[in-house]
Formats: sequence, C-alpha cells, structure tokens
Amino acid sequence: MESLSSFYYGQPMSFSVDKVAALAYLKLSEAEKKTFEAQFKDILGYVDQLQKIPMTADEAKSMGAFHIQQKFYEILGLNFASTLREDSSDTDAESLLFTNADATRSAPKADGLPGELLYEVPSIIDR
Amino acid sequence: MGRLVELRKKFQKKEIGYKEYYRTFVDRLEKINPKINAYLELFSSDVLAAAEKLDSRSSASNSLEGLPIAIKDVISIRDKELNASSKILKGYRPARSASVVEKLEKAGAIFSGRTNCDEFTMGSSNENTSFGSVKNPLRLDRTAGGSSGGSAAVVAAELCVGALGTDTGGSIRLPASFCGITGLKATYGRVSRSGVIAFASSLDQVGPMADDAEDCAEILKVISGRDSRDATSMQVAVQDYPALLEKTPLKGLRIGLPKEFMKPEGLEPDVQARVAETLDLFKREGAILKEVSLPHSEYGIAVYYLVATAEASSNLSRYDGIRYGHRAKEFSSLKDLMMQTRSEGFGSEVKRRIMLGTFSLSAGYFDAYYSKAQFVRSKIQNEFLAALKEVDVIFCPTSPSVAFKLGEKTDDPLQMYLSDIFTVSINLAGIPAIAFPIGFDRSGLPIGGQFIAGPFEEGKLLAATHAFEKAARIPKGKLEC
Amino acid sequence: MLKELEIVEKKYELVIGLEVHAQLKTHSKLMSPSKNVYGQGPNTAVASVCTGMPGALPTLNKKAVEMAITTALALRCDVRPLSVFSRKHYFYPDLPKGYQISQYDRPYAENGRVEFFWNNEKCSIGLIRIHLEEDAGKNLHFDERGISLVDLNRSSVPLIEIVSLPDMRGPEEAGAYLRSLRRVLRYLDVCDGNLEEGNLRCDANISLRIRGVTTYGTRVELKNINSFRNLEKALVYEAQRQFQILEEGGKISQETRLWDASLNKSLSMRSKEEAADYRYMPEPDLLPLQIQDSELKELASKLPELPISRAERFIKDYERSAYDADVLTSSKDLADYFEQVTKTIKDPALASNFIQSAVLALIQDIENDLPKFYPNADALSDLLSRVKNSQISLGMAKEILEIMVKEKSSAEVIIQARGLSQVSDDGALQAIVDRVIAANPKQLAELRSGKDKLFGFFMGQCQKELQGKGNPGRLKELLEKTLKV
Repeated sequence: MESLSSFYYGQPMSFSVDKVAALAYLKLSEAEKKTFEAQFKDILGYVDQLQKIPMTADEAKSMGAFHIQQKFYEILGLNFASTLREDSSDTDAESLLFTNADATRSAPKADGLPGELLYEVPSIIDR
Repeated sequence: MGRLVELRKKFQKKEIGYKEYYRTFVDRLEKINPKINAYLELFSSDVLAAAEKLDSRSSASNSLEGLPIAIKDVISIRDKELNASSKILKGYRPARSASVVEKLEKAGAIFSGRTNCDEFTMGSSNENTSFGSVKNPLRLDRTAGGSSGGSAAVVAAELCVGALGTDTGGSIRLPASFCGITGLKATYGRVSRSGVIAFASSLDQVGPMADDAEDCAEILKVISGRDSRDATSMQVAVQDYPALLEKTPLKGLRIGLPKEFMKPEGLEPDVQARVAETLDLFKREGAILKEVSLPHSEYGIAVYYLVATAEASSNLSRYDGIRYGHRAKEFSSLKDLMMQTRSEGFGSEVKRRIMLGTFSLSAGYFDAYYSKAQFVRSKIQNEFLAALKEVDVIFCPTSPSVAFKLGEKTDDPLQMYLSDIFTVSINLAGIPAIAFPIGFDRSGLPIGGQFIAGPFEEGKLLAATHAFEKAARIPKGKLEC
Repeated sequence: MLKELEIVEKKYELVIGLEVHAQLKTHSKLMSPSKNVYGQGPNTAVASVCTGMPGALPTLNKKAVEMAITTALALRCDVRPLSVFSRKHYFYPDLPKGYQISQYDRPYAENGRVEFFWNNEKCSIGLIRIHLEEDAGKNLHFDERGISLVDLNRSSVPLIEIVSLPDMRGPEEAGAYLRSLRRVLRYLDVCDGNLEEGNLRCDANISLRIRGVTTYGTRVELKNINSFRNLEKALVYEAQRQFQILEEGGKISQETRLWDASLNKSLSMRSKEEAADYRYMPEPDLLPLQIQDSELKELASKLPELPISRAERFIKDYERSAYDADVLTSSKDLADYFEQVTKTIKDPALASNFIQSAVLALIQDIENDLPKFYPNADALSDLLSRVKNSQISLGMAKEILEIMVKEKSSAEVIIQARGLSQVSDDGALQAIVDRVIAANPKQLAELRSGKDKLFGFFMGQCQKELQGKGNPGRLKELLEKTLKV
C-alpha cells in the first residue's frame, strides 16, 4: 500500500485513459480518448483540492458510506442491529413468482435463437 | 391548491368522471408531449382501461385513487420497458415493480407514463438522454434541468398531477426549480430504493415532484417507509405529512442562511434579487434569520464526483449485454462482446463517470480518492447537523442560475457539474431538502429556493414550504407548450 | 514423508496453506431470497438480485450468518463484533452484478485453528481468517455451436472462505487438514463437504524454502482441485516442479496454476493478465454486520461436541487408541452409534472392535448409509450383549450381523429361527468333552506325549459335535481341566 504521505503534499496523480478504460471494460475511439484525456485533466485537477485536507491512516479505514447513516441511527437512538432476512424454505413471493421466464425474458438472443432457460454467450475459453 | 389535491376532490365529489377526465387527459398528453419530449412512453391504453374500471366502482377510498402519476424511467413498473434513458437497456422489461410503485398502486394511483431523464440519472440538464433532450415547458429553448427533467416538465406542463423523480446530487430539486414546481428529496433511508436503477447507492433517493408542498406531502406519505427489500431503508415511523402542513408557521421559525451559499457574486442577478425578496418575506412573517457556516461545503462537488462516480462505476458493471438489454452484434470474443456492448450502449457522460469512478477505486488511488472523499463527506454532514442544532431549517437557492439554454454547457462537463453546487452537499449529508418556487427572472424563467432540515424532518420541510406558499403566493409560470 | 518427495525434502521444506470454500446449507441464498438448491433446471432457482437485474438490492440471510458464526466458534476464531461487506469487481458472465459481495479488510472471523489426529499425534493448524461471500453462477460449455451457457442457480449461494496459515509441511498433512476441516463442517451440519459436487472447494498455496531458512519462498496458487487424491497429487507435482526450477538456479514466478487431473500436471493459466485489480469497495447497500455477545453465547451453547474433543474423550473415557478414536469420530453419526452401543453394553473395546471390523465392512458409504443402516445402535447393542453373556460367540455374532443386514430382523429372531444359541451349560459341555476324549484315544496319547498342537484337534471335534455352538471359552476351560486328569 502506498504511503499516505503522498497525498498530503499535492503529488500529481497520474491517469491513463487506456488503463482505466480496460478496467472498466470500455472501448474508446481515438477521438473519445483525446477528449477524455483533456476533460479528465480538468476534472482531476479540480478534485485534487481534497488533498489539502489532511487524513490519518486510521481515518482512511473507511467504513464505506455507513458512517453517514450511522449518525442518523445515533441521533434517533435506533439500534442498528442488522436486520437480516429470515432463511425461509417457503421462499417469499418474489422468488416464488420469479420464474425462469422472468429471468430470461429480456435476454439477448444468440444466433437468433431465443434466450430460453439459459443465457447464451460466445464460447468461454478460460477463467 | 395543487392539482393533485384538487383533482382528488373533483373525483370524490363526482364533479367529473374518470373516463371523461382521462379522455381529455390522453388527448392533451399526445398533443403536448412531442413539444417537450418529456414522456418516453405514454401509458394511454392502460390509463383509459383503468378509468373504465374506476367509473364502474362505487367509491374511491385510497388517497391517490385514480390520480395520474408519472414515473421516471429508472423506477421499475412491472412489464413496462425500463431504459434509464439509455440504449444499453433497450428491450429490458422488469418482472417486478419497484416497492414505491407497488405502494402507489395500492394507494390507487394510475401511471400516466414513464418520463425522460438523463442517462442513468447522470446529468443536470436532461441532455444526456439517448431519447432527445427534454425541453423546458416554460421556454422551449431551455433545459428542464436534470436528471429528473422529464418528471419536472410533465408536472409543469400539467400532463399529470404528480411525478416520481430520483435525487442523487440534486436531480429532483434542480429540475423542480428550473420548471417552477416543487420537488422533495427525503432523508436517505426514508424511501425504498428497491427496484430503482441505482446510480450512487449511498446517495440516491426517490422523491415526489408536484405543484406544491401539499401535493408532494400526499405522495411522500404513500411512498415512505421501511422496506425489507432495502437494507438501507430505516425503521422510522412515517409521519402524516398532509396533516402536519399547518404545523410550522413562518412566525418564530429559525431559518439558517449558509454564508457559503448566499454570496451574491455567486448568483445570477435575478436569482439574487428573488432570494433577497424571499428573505424579506421571511422577516416580515416573523421568521428569525441567522447566518450559519458550512465551511467544507466548498468541497461538496469534489467529494460528490468521487463518491458518486465510484459507486456508479460499480453499479453499472452489471450492464454487459449478457442477460438483458442491448448486445453488440459484432465481437471477436466474450470479453469483446461485453466491452463492445458497453461502448455502444453507454453515452459519453456515463462513460466519463464510469471512468472517473473506476479510477478512484483502483489500486493505489483508493485512499487518496475514495477514502478521502468519504472522510470529507463526514465533515460536511457534521457541519450541517451542527448548524441544524442552532436553527429549525436552512434556506438557500437551489441553483446559481435559471434554466440555461439547451447545448450551452454540454461541451464542458466540469461546468455542468458546478451547477450542482447548492444541491450535492445535502445528498452527501443524507439529510432531506425541498425545492420550491420563489419567483421568476425578468424573462419569466422560474427561480427556486431550498429548505433543508435534519434527518426525518420531512414534515417540517413540507410545512415550512406550505407556509411560504401561502404568504408569497408565487404565480404559476406561463407555458410555452 | 512421501517417497516421491524424499529428494526434495532433503534440502527443502514444503510450506503449504489451504483456502477452502464451503457452501452453507441454507434454504435460501446469501443475498437473495431464491432457493439454495443443487441440480435444479437452469435459471429456475433465481430472483432479481442473483441475476443482477437493474434496481435489485441484496438482503443478508440470517441463517447463513448463524452457520458462519457457528463455524467460527467451533474453530476457535475471534468473531468481530462489527464486520463489513465489500464488493469485489470483475467482469464475467457467471458474475451477474459485475461484482461479488464478499468481505475484504473486515472479515467476520479471524485466527482460530483446526485440530486433528494424524499419525497418532494431535496436530493443530492455525487459521488466518474466515469470511462470508457469494458464490458465482456456472458456465456450461456447448462447443458444437461455439457457445457457452450461463446458469445462475448457484449465483449468491452462501460461501464461507476459510484461510489457513501456511503451516502445513506436506501433502499428506494437507490432506489430513482438509479431511478434518470437512469433518467439523459436517458435524456442525453447515456444509455437506462434497468435493466432487463442489459444495466444498479447495485451493492450495505452496512454496519451497531451504531447510533452516525462516523467510518464505515465492508461492504458487493451485486451483481446480476436486478430490482429496488430487490435492495430494497436485501438491506433489508442484513441489517437484518448483524443486526442479530452484535446483537449476531459476526463480519461481508467483502465479496461479490449474491442476489438470487428466494430464497429472499443473498448468499456468493462459491469458492471465497482470494481477487483477478488484477495486474493493465497501458495500453501500448493506449495513455492517453487527454480532452481539449474547448471540455468540447462544450459538456457542448450541455447538455439538466437536470431532477432536470427542476423539479425545474416547481416548480418555473409553481407553481407545488415537487411531481408533479417529476412525470412530470420522462422522458424527458413527460416533453417536459407537457411543450409544458402548453405553448400553458397557464394553467399549468390544463395541469398537466389532464396529470397525464387522459393521463398517458392510457399509459402502458411511456418511450416507449409516443413518439408515440396520442394525441400528439398539439392535447392535442387543447382538453384542448376547456375546457378552455367552449366548453366542463373537464369530457367530459376525455371521448373525450379516443376516440382520440382509433380513432386517433382530438378533433374537435370527437366533431362535436358526437355533444358533451357544451352548454354555457346563453339564452339556462336559458330556461332549468326555465323549470326544473317549472317542479319540490315539490323539489323546499323542497329546499326552507332548504334541500340544493336538489340543486344537480336540477343540475342533467338540465344536463339531456341538455344531460350532460351543462357548469357546468355557469349552476350553473344561477340556483343559479334563485333560489334566
């Protein structure tokens, strides 16, 4: 893990359109790439102002977004003991009625054949 | 009186029959909608069939019985196509309605159609849609605001009596202001998100858009409540919002004015003028004005565009052409199928945000971007909550400007993001806010103000707005459609 | 030490850790209310969450959490009062949301250990962590049309991932660890532990280091291990492969390799890009998992006696050997069976020996067949008590057992029907002894002159007269006594 000091001192972040697009499974045209490069320079430049605000390693251990809602639980004096779903064998309305047809009703057709029962994809070579 | 409550009275008193009303209604819809491109699909035949049924029944018992409500194209209605205004969801029809839709149905509402919006609700002007921009019904060369531009426009153009929108960074409040109507974003966790296409999971909220506070209150009461399908919805009793409307008079109301949002140089002159008049009215009515400070709110846009895009990039991973929606016709491998599908199906704003979000979650950048943003978000929330200890509600404008021209900001994404300056911080803090008309600019374009309150204080927001409406009597804007 | 690895282990130490995924036996899935079921028609046990439909939100299964906590308690882990779910992102057709909901930096359980008997010694392998996560769907290949088919029935089935410390030093130990872990999961009834069906899956990490060195070598991850045998084979192969490379002065590349059971080798994964960036993000649609002390106490109180504790108790209270104890506790049903019989006949040695030598030989698949096996514990106790009171001999009991299994009738019925009662009456036996001795003077003389082996002849002749029903102990005593005269 990178040392946290790197973002106290305004170190510029490097952004590679190609790398990010590959991670995001997006294919960009050359024109798109050019536009995005310029736009991201602006946007990341703007967003970099957050580097002014110091944060310790412990503070970085984010609990995701729950800390925002957690405040509400505190304010309202509610116990947020996780509300879990009962493991019913008599599955609820949604799954009882969610049939195979529901699952595949909007499935794209491969080779012009209906996407029935299973979802069809081109051959998977390797995992 | 708002048209929702008014129409309900008419139906209940049998001043007009359902079929009679809806025949005119459908004609009007089909005539006017093409001018503003607000509805993506009109449910004309459903509406007429429902009207038939209702006429043959004895009495209307439910609170929204037979009233036409428009639904934003990200909220599932069973068996109706749902696109999120995107090509990538072409042909997708949900097998289940969203929880809020089921609630509206139980209350007797009739769905008039699904409304245009920015693609995956990413946008502030409803120009990022693959179905053509929505035109502001008061000025056809202007945006209706976004992302719930379609919902705002159909209410303003009187093509329904109420609509559902969603608000992640201002997407209900901004279009409400641009179109001169009222829109409320509830506390995060007040309304279920189950069946609503997710943009930013920790920010999204479904909310009502209608003529005034009373109409919004009627809708909010129906759609609120804990839903076992949404773990982030909270077990908090739903107040009887319509019954609370008279309970928060302006007299004695402590209204906080955040100095960071009220700088005159940050507002268009006419916006500033209307804001000043509004403050005068508050004083005349006996409210107590107090300056508050939200120092970290200046980072709101930066925080928002990191948290929201990170969550969005994650939520949009499922759109891969495998199980529903668009699938590319030409591809060289499985991986290419998915990449090609996404590239063909997503518009450029969506791609931009996915990229930004992916980057902020990526290895080596997570702490600097995502974690830092969540950290600052906490600070923003704390400042709001501290301010709300000193005052009952906070007031500020919804937008620094009136509805801008179509095409004016589409080349400069950062400029577009900055239009959300007064709205995003509220989503980051998770607290509720309502946008309502406070006047017009010299050319007749609407200007909106916001009330902001603490968690689950929607009743107070609606009541304060109701009190303002009665005192200010802002007239309706003139429609151009 | 395995023979094939002798040369490797002369110089190097094998450092092995296992990552085991266990499917939990809940009725519904981890994040979706649809059924958790194996073998149903494709895409029929699904709902909107596990098919990644737009707008679908996850809901956490209470039973899955309970089973996960129970497992952690049984393995002596520290259970976190607050743990968090995270999204692990990658694109693949069997992952409908484009991310798996898992636990990353805050798993619900940490530390702990798996204890077991191996080579008659008690072993303990430490754990790093256990976390909850969703399973993915399945891809089926359909080469004639050049397509694959995706079945999401398995999507979001609950898994716990149990990660051990790299404390194992050989393939056999690894096998013993996996067997023992599986045994615990079955005792708790949280997982069926069927490797072939895939409800228990194992990945192995192995590296080599020169004996005496304390730093770790580069490790390789092995996947696609679908049986205990393949676990051993894969580890042996990989150890030899790494040994070869190191001896030639090469470097081990840190990678994931697939075990190919048909080729008997591990293969580098083709088209493996640089380490995947999963962009872990805390799951915003779920609340953190809060586990109260009271819940822990309650689940702890419901824990059954665990295999290692039970085995140790069998050693202590019933004076069984470590080997016997291990066999008798290989399944909870078997341990119950043994103990019930032992308590009834009050003879643990007899129970243990008879069960191991006679009963188990008649059962194909202990885990599946023992519950419905006849004779049950009561019936077996009845049979063995007749041995204890000398009504029948041990040998006869074995024969009767086989008939019981075939005819499903009780020992009593069989003995009566076939007149198999042992003769133990001294009078009757003495009469036979006298008769046989009188009838065989030649052999008697030879016995008297020192041919002690002929004692067996007399025993045989007596049993022949008795149609084998003579109580052997008593008969022997009487014969000895009579011959001395």
